[in-house]
Amino acid sequence: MIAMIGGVVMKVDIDLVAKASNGDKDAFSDLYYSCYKDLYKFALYTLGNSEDAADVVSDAFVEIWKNLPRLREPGAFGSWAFRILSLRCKREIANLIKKRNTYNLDDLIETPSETSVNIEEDISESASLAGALSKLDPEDRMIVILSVLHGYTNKEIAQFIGRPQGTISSKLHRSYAKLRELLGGENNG
Amino acid sequence: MAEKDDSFCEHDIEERLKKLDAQIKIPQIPDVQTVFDRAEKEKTHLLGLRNARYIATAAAVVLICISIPLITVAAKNGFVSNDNAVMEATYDLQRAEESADAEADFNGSPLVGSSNGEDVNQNKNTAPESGNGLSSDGAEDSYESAGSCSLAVDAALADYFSVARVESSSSSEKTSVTSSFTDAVSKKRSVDVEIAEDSVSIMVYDTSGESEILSAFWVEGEFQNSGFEGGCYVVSVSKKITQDEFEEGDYLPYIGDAQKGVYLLPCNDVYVNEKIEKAVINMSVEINVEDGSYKIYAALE
Repeated sequence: MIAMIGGVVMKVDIDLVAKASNGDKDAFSDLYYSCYKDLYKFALYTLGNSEDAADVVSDAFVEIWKNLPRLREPGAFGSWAFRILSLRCKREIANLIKKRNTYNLDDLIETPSETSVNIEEDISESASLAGALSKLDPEDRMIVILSVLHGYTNKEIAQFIGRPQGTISSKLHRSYAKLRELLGGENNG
Repeated sequence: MAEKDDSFCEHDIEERLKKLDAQIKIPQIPDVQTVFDRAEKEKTHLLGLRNARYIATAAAVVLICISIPLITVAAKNGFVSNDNAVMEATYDLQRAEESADAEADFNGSPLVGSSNGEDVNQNKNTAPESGNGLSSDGAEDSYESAGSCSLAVDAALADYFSVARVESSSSSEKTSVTSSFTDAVSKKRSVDVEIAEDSVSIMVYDTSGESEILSAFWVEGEFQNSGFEGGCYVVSVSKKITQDEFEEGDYLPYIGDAQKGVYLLPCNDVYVNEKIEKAVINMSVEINVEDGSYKIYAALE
């Protein structure tokens, strides 16, 4: 059975969650490989470099495995996992501050395949968006990504991030405005 | 995705984000076995910590057996002539009982280990005289610059570093350990203390439901000890200040909170000892396990 509670991207097999929470390593293994990509991307957007993102995701999976027996509602696995990861990312953000928040665009953008018709345009467009994202506060990036790419509601994001729903709404609104401003020249042109 | 306008720009941003998302490079996924191995390793460390607690508990019981007759004899012989001695004996008994009841602190906190929880709270109100740290519970004056730091902290450190000193390298083994604790009374809370390379992260769970996270935060510094004291779970963390950090004005410990964000421990909340001997900020993080709230009592020593 596939759960689609809240998020629209990360689909989770509830049966696998139930088995994994009973200590089934094979089931957890399947969960791990099916969720890794989404969790990694989220961490990468938030932290801005692949090494930190991989470390944080690894830490989060250890915590997920250890605490899975406590999860009573398998259908809540997706949001629960994102919550753990977002808390881990929050912790890592301090290091970003110390490192002047280095956002590595190369980690984010893959050179399009040679079959792409508009290679240069694709790279340029992605680079400008990634550059604009890097100007956002890490937490604001988290909110934008959870909303746009993972389809979570403001209420759900508020639970992950641990902030009031109104704060999420206003942060999302401000982030859109900032991205619009940063990308404005292109859109208007 | 509520509260979104249908303007072209926002739709455009979303579309471009999705396009970017499709281009994200995904590295080779690490073998899932690494997750199991790490979890197992941390479990082993946890068992080690628990064993240490049991040993400490046994030691406390022995201490009671030894101290009560001694104090009784001393009192009968008139050697105990003031209330303080009696209070100390009472405190030992209380502490030992707490140890036995609640798997209490096994090393003794430098700040609060000599008091039970109530004493700590009382002492905090009179901190400068008693030598206990002042408290911080996540003030908004985050990211305060060293320039605005209290004169007392700066002056004490300047004095300390005015004498040439050899910076001792940290001898502590950097391990990643998770320690769990369940409230002995309610059985509905647990506190995970994870020791990272340069910080200690703490997560407070309400385990009565589906493991709701009540609070999650981390404190920069080196783990000292943790345990249940006077109704609160207390984690002691110390941050060694190097001369370089002092000269760069970047010596106050960072605290990261899931709700409050990342902030520096306000230096006005750091009690400065009369004599600085180690240039260490000792922090006692006192966690209310009922609601997950916490306060940090800090002292520069």
